[in-house]
Amino acid sequence: MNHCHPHLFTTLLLTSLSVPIPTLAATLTGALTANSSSTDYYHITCAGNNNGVTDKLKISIMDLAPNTAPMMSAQLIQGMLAVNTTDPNDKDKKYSPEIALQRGDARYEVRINKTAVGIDSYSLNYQCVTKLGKPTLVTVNRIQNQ
Amino acid sequence: MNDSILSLKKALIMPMLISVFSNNATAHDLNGSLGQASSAVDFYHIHCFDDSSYLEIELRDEAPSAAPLMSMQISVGERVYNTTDAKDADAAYSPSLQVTGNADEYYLITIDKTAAGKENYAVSYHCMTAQNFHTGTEIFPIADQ
Repeated sequence: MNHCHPHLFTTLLLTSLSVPIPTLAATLTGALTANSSSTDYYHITCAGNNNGVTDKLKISIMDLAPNTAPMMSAQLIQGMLAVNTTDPNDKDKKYSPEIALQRGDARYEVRINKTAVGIDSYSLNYQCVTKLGKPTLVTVNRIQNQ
Repeated sequence: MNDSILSLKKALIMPMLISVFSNNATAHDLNGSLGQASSAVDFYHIHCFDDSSYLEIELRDEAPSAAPLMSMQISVGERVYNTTDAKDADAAYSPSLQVTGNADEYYLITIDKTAAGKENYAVSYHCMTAQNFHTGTEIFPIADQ
Protein backbone atom coordinates (compact mmCIF):
# COMPACT_ATOMS: atom_id res chain seq x y z
CA MET A 1 0.00 0.00 0.00
CA ASN A 2 2.84 2.31 0.83
CA HIS A 3 4.86 1.20 -2.18
CA CYS A 4 4.83 3.31 -5.29
CA HIS A 5 4.10 1.42 -8.54
CA PRO A 6 7.51 0.74 -10.16
CA HIS A 7 6.63 2.32 -13.55
CA LEU A 8 5.16 5.37 -11.85
CA PHE A 9 8.25 5.64 -9.67
CA THR A 10 10.54 5.45 -12.70
CA THR A 11 8.51 8.07 -14.55
CA LEU A 12 8.55 10.40 -11.56
CA LEU A 13 12.29 9.89 -11.12
CA LEU A 14 13.07 10.59 -14.78
CA THR A 15 10.83 13.64 -14.74
CA SER A 16 12.48 14.99 -11.62
CA LEU A 17 15.89 14.50 -13.24
CA SER A 18 14.75 16.24 -16.45
CA VAL A 19 15.56 13.12 -18.43
CA PRO A 20 13.51 12.91 -21.63
CA ILE A 21 10.96 10.12 -21.47
CA PRO A 22 10.41 7.98 -24.57
CA THR A 23 6.94 8.30 -26.02
CA LEU A 24 5.18 7.17 -29.17
CA ALA A 25 4.25 9.82 -31.77
CA ALA A 26 4.32 13.35 -30.44
CA THR A 27 4.06 17.01 -31.25
CA LEU A 28 6.10 19.83 -29.79
CA THR A 29 5.74 23.57 -30.14
CA GLY A 30 8.48 26.16 -30.21
CA ALA A 31 9.33 29.68 -31.29
CA LEU A 32 12.13 31.46 -33.11
CA THR A 33 13.31 34.94 -32.18
CA ALA A 34 13.33 37.90 -34.58
CA ASN A 35 16.86 37.36 -35.91
CA SER A 36 16.79 35.81 -39.39
CA SER A 37 19.59 33.42 -38.45
CA SER A 38 17.61 31.91 -35.54
CA THR A 39 17.56 28.14 -35.56
CA ASP A 40 16.13 25.62 -33.11
CA TYR A 41 17.95 22.32 -32.94
CA TYR A 42 16.73 18.95 -31.63
CA HIS A 43 18.04 15.44 -31.31
CA ILE A 44 15.30 12.90 -31.88
CA THR A 45 16.14 9.32 -30.99
CA CYS A 46 14.15 6.35 -32.25
CA ALA A 47 14.21 3.04 -30.37
CA GLY A 48 12.44 -0.23 -31.01
CA ASN A 49 9.65 -1.54 -28.79
CA ASN A 50 7.15 -4.39 -28.83
CA ASN A 51 6.13 -3.30 -32.33
CA GLY A 52 9.63 -4.05 -33.64
CA VAL A 53 12.66 -2.05 -34.68
CA THR A 54 12.34 1.42 -36.15
CA ASP A 55 12.35 1.75 -39.92
CA LYS A 56 12.18 5.55 -40.22
CA LEU A 57 11.56 8.88 -38.54
CA LYS A 58 8.81 11.01 -40.09
CA ILE A 59 8.45 14.73 -39.39
CA SER A 60 6.40 17.70 -40.59
CA ILE A 61 6.18 21.31 -39.46
CA MET A 62 3.33 23.81 -39.13
CA ASP A 63 3.97 27.56 -39.16
CA LEU A 64 1.84 28.94 -36.33
CA ALA A 65 0.70 32.47 -35.49
CA PRO A 66 1.67 35.24 -35.91
CA ASN A 67 0.93 35.27 -39.64
CA THR A 68 4.11 36.95 -40.80
CA ALA A 69 6.34 36.97 -43.85
CA PRO A 70 8.91 34.33 -42.90
CA MET A 71 8.30 30.78 -44.09
CA MET A 72 9.35 28.07 -41.68
CA SER A 73 11.38 25.02 -42.66
CA ALA A 74 12.70 21.90 -40.94
CA GLN A 75 15.71 19.86 -41.97
CA LEU A 76 15.99 16.21 -40.98
CA ILE A 77 19.55 14.82 -40.93
CA GLN A 78 21.04 11.47 -40.09
CA GLY A 79 24.60 10.56 -41.00
CA MET A 80 25.19 11.74 -44.55
CA LEU A 81 21.49 12.03 -45.47
CA ALA A 82 19.45 15.22 -45.23
CA VAL A 83 15.95 16.30 -46.35
CA ASN A 84 14.00 19.53 -46.01
CA THR A 85 10.34 20.48 -45.62
CA THR A 86 8.74 23.94 -45.66
CA ASP A 87 5.24 25.02 -44.65
CA PRO A 88 4.19 27.13 -47.64
CA ASN A 89 1.19 28.77 -45.97
CA ASP A 90 1.33 30.52 -42.64
CA LYS A 91 -2.40 31.18 -42.43
CA ASP A 92 -3.81 27.69 -42.74
CA LYS A 93 -3.69 24.98 -40.12
CA LYS A 94 -1.95 22.41 -42.27
CA TYR A 95 1.41 20.81 -41.76
CA SER A 96 4.16 20.93 -44.38
CA PRO A 97 4.77 17.93 -46.64
CA GLU A 98 5.93 15.01 -44.51
CA ILE A 99 9.59 14.01 -44.86
CA ALA A 100 11.30 10.88 -43.57
CA LEU A 101 14.69 9.22 -43.34
CA GLN A 102 14.99 5.43 -43.18
CA ARG A 103 17.92 5.02 -40.80
CA GLY A 104 16.41 2.64 -38.25
CA ASP A 105 16.92 2.90 -34.50
CA ALA A 106 19.20 5.94 -34.38
CA ARG A 107 19.62 9.52 -33.29
CA TYR A 108 18.40 11.99 -35.88
CA GLU A 109 18.98 15.76 -36.03
CA VAL A 110 16.18 18.24 -36.70
CA ARG A 111 16.82 21.95 -37.33
CA ILE A 112 14.06 24.53 -37.62
CA ASN A 113 14.57 27.93 -39.22
CA LYS A 114 12.81 30.70 -41.15
CA THR A 115 13.43 32.75 -44.24
CA ALA A 116 13.37 36.30 -42.84
CA VAL A 117 13.46 38.55 -39.81
CA GLY A 118 10.52 38.31 -37.41
CA ILE A 119 9.33 36.34 -34.43
CA ASP A 120 7.52 33.15 -35.44
CA SER A 121 6.29 29.97 -33.80
CA TYR A 122 5.82 26.42 -34.98
CA SER A 123 4.51 22.98 -34.26
CA LEU A 124 6.70 19.99 -35.06
CA ASN A 125 5.11 16.59 -35.56
CA TYR A 126 7.42 13.58 -35.30
CA GLN A 127 6.97 9.83 -35.28
CA CYS A 128 9.28 6.82 -35.37
CA VAL A 129 7.66 3.85 -37.12
CA THR A 130 8.40 0.26 -38.11
CA LYS A 131 8.29 -1.00 -41.69
CA LEU A 132 4.62 -1.81 -41.07
CA GLY A 133 3.96 1.75 -39.92
CA LYS A 134 3.54 0.90 -36.25
CA PRO A 135 4.95 3.43 -33.77
CA THR A 136 8.21 2.85 -31.93
CA LEU A 137 9.69 4.81 -29.06
CA VAL A 138 10.84 8.37 -29.64
CA THR A 139 12.81 10.70 -27.36
CA VAL A 140 13.46 14.39 -27.97
CA ASN A 141 16.31 16.51 -26.62
CA ARG A 142 16.32 20.22 -27.32
CA ILE A 143 19.92 21.20 -28.06
CA GLN A 144 19.52 24.83 -29.10
CA ASN A 145 16.64 27.25 -28.54
CA GLN A 146 16.89 30.56 -30.39
CA MET B 1 71.95 35.19 -69.71
CA ASN B 2 70.90 31.54 -69.41
CA ASP B 3 70.79 31.91 -65.63
CA SER B 4 68.49 34.87 -65.83
CA ILE B 5 66.13 33.03 -68.23
CA LEU B 6 66.12 30.03 -65.89
CA SER B 7 65.33 32.26 -62.93
CA LEU B 8 62.50 33.89 -64.88
CA LYS B 9 61.05 30.46 -65.77
CA LYS B 10 61.20 29.40 -62.13
CA ALA B 11 59.55 32.63 -61.06
CA LEU B 12 56.68 32.13 -63.51
CA ILE B 13 56.23 28.37 -63.49
CA MET B 14 56.55 27.49 -59.81
CA PRO B 15 53.59 29.57 -58.64
CA MET B 16 51.48 28.04 -61.44
CA LEU B 17 52.43 24.51 -60.35
CA ILE B 18 51.68 25.31 -56.74
CA SER B 19 48.26 26.70 -57.61
CA VAL B 20 47.41 23.60 -59.64
CA PHE B 21 48.39 20.99 -57.07
CA SER B 22 47.64 22.67 -53.76
CA ASN B 23 44.40 21.96 -51.91
CA ASN B 24 45.10 24.77 -49.51
CA ALA B 25 43.35 27.92 -50.68
CA THR B 26 42.37 30.91 -48.60
CA ALA B 27 38.89 31.72 -49.91
CA HIS B 28 36.39 29.94 -52.12
CA ASP B 29 33.31 30.33 -54.22
CA LEU B 30 31.19 27.28 -54.85
CA ASN B 31 28.40 26.81 -57.39
CA GLY B 32 25.74 24.13 -57.07
CA SER B 33 22.15 23.26 -57.84
CA LEU B 34 19.16 21.62 -56.17
CA GLY B 35 16.81 19.23 -57.98
CA GLN B 36 13.08 19.54 -58.47
CA ALA B 37 11.91 18.03 -55.16
CA SER B 38 11.01 20.47 -52.40
CA SER B 39 12.87 18.20 -49.97
CA ALA B 40 16.20 18.45 -51.82
CA VAL B 41 19.22 19.31 -49.66
CA ASP B 42 22.88 19.71 -50.62
CA PHE B 43 25.29 18.87 -47.86
CA TYR B 44 28.97 19.84 -47.42
CA HIS B 45 31.72 19.74 -44.84
CA ILE B 46 34.07 22.72 -44.77
CA HIS B 47 37.41 22.25 -43.03
CA CYS B 48 39.20 25.32 -41.69
CA PHE B 49 42.90 24.82 -40.98
CA ASP B 50 44.66 24.81 -37.64
CA ASP B 51 45.12 28.58 -37.35
CA SER B 52 41.47 29.33 -38.05
CA SER B 53 39.09 31.05 -35.67
CA TYR B 54 35.83 31.35 -37.59
CA LEU B 55 34.06 30.67 -40.89
CA GLU B 56 32.52 33.55 -42.84
CA ILE B 57 29.88 32.35 -45.29
CA GLU B 58 26.99 33.61 -47.44
CA LEU B 59 24.60 32.24 -50.07
CA ARG B 60 23.28 33.63 -53.36
CA ASP B 61 20.16 32.32 -55.10
CA GLU B 62 21.05 32.35 -58.79
CA ALA B 63 19.03 32.18 -62.02
CA PRO B 64 16.50 30.84 -62.87
CA SER B 65 14.43 33.40 -61.00
CA ALA B 66 11.89 31.03 -59.47
CA ALA B 67 9.49 30.89 -56.55
CA PRO B 68 11.58 28.97 -54.01
CA LEU B 69 13.68 30.93 -51.56
CA MET B 70 17.06 29.38 -50.83
CA SER B 71 18.52 29.00 -47.35
CA MET B 72 21.73 27.66 -45.87
CA GLN B 73 22.41 26.31 -42.40
CA ILE B 74 25.85 26.23 -40.81
CA SER B 75 26.47 24.04 -37.79
CA VAL B 76 29.47 23.45 -35.61
CA GLY B 77 29.36 21.42 -32.45
CA GLU B 78 25.83 21.86 -31.13
CA ARG B 79 25.26 25.34 -32.60
CA VAL B 80 23.30 25.96 -35.80
CA TYR B 81 22.64 29.19 -37.74
CA ASN B 82 20.57 30.01 -40.81
CA THR B 83 20.82 32.53 -43.63
CA THR B 84 18.35 33.07 -46.50
CA ASP B 85 18.75 34.98 -49.75
CA ALA B 86 15.59 37.10 -49.81
CA LYS B 87 15.75 37.90 -53.54
CA ASP B 88 16.35 35.50 -56.38
CA ALA B 89 18.78 36.15 -59.24
CA ASP B 90 20.07 39.52 -58.14
CA ALA B 91 23.75 40.13 -57.47
CA ALA B 92 23.38 40.34 -53.70
CA TYR B 93 24.19 37.53 -51.31
CA SER B 94 22.20 36.57 -48.21
CA PRO B 95 23.21 38.11 -44.88
CA SER B 96 26.77 36.98 -44.13
CA LEU B 97 27.31 34.71 -41.13
CA GLN B 98 30.46 34.56 -39.05
CA VAL B 99 30.44 31.26 -37.18
CA THR B 100 33.12 30.79 -34.54
CA GLY B 101 34.79 27.41 -34.23
CA ASN B 102 37.91 25.84 -32.82
CA ALA B 103 41.19 25.67 -34.70
CA ASP B 104 41.22 22.83 -37.23
CA GLU B 105 37.42 22.89 -37.29
CA TYR B 106 34.86 21.13 -39.49
CA TYR B 107 31.65 23.02 -40.28
CA LEU B 108 28.57 21.24 -41.61
CA ILE B 109 26.69 23.12 -44.34
CA THR B 110 23.19 22.30 -45.65
CA ILE B 111 21.47 24.17 -48.49
CA ASP B 112 17.73 23.89 -49.16
CA LYS B 113 14.76 25.69 -50.69
CA THR B 114 11.19 26.43 -49.71
CA ALA B 115 9.30 24.82 -52.60
CA ALA B 116 9.51 22.46 -55.56
CA GLY B 117 11.51 23.60 -58.59
CA LYS B 118 15.09 23.44 -59.76
CA GLU B 119 17.38 26.12 -58.38
CA ASN B 120 21.02 27.16 -58.62
CA TYR B 121 23.15 28.77 -55.98
CA ALA B 122 26.57 30.20 -55.20
CA VAL B 123 28.26 30.00 -51.81
CA SER B 124 31.11 32.28 -50.78
CA TYR B 125 33.08 30.96 -47.81
CA HIS B 126 36.23 32.05 -46.04
CA CYS B 127 38.10 30.49 -43.15
CA MET B 128 39.54 33.30 -41.05
CA THR B 129 42.10 33.65 -38.29
CA ALA B 130 41.46 35.55 -35.07
CA GLN B 131 43.39 38.43 -36.69
CA ASN B 132 40.88 38.40 -39.62
CA PHE B 133 43.31 36.98 -42.17
CA HIS B 134 42.26 34.29 -44.63
CA THR B 135 43.55 30.82 -43.87
CA GLY B 136 43.46 27.34 -45.36
CA THR B 137 40.13 25.90 -46.49
CA GLU B 138 38.93 22.54 -47.77
CA ILE B 139 35.44 21.52 -48.84
CA PHE B 140 33.96 18.02 -49.05
CA PRO B 141 30.66 17.44 -50.89
CA ILE B 142 28.60 14.93 -48.89
CA ALA B 143 25.18 14.88 -50.60
CA ASP B 144 24.11 16.38 -53.92
CA GLN B 145 20.35 16.33 -54.42
